[in-house]
Amino acid sequence: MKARNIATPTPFGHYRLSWIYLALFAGAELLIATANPLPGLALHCLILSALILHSAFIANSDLANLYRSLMVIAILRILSMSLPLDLFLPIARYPLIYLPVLFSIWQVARLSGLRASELRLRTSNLFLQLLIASGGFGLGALEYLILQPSILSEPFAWVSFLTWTLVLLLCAGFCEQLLFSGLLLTFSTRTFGKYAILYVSLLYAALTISSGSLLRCLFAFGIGLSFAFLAKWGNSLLSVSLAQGTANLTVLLLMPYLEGNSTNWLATLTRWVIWVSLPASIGGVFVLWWHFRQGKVESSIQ
Amino acid sequence: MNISLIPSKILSSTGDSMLALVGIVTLLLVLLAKEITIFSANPRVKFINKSLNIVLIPLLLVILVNALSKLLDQIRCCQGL
Repeated sequence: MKARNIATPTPFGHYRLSWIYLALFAGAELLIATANPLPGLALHCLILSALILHSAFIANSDLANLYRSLMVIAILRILSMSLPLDLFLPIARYPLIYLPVLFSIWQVARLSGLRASELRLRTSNLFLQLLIASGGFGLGALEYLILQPSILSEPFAWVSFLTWTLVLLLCAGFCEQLLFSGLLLTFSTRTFGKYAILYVSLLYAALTISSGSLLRCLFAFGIGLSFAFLAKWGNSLLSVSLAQGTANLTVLLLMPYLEGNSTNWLATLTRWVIWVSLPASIGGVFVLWWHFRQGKVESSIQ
Repeated sequence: MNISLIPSKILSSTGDSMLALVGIVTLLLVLLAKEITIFSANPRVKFINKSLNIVLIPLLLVILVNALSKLLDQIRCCQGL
């Protein structure tokens, strides 16, 4: 559709329907948190249908593309709830959900004519990005200590560890950040301007409501906010994707390993990595912020 | 499951034939909508047609996995008898 862009400034209330969709996603997640998750899934299906129709009747192409991006959120939840995941190995569940989601993200990017750089698929200042990404270890440890999440009960083996690393970095890290800090942040920045980061972070937090834990929601909001700022300041998904992947890896594999084996050399090394990575990544974030303030980071968002 | 977005709740642990059936009906409706809208000159209809591509593959996956797992479950039950 050849859509016209609205040239006028974008006041907060002008796009109130986008905020209503956010509230609907939160409502659907709240329904999933109840005893019978079926109404929540039905609401996600309704939101998806509404987004398909609604996006076609919007003159502002960026807002229409934001609605197309929101479709991927509904698809992610429909997939994750309606697939019989218990039949598959835990390691196979992530690709089973995220590969079709990746296809949907690619479709949205293709239909909206987004370039890879606009999705922040670039590696500017590689060393700094890796330094910030190392903070994922500390973040994972913090999450493990605060939330005490359910963990995998697998004995440690190098092959399994490396496979999990690959799966978590690509699926949980790359796919989720491509969706939130890439696709959604790009279109919401074009639509809401300075409110974009708030919108994406709230959406990220809303999708954890189904866990039924307020603490987890607040934690997810903090993570979403931090990652959105990092992606904006660095104009790259590398640091946030790796940070989320390593955070998941720390929660699922490293911290349980540390609890079971506190004395051997691998546990000592892991503990050192977690402790050293925290100040290193905080320093990296400060340098990144400084570069952003100085205008040294090239922006790809029009 | 930690900070990733996979929830702990799923509808069925062994595949759901009703879900597969609803999925098939939805897929047929989506394909029908695509066929109807493909030659339309209306830009809004064209936009909807393109948006439907976003949901096609995930929808197919839901149908296939649920239908196949239910089928395997049934076969396993029959062999048990």
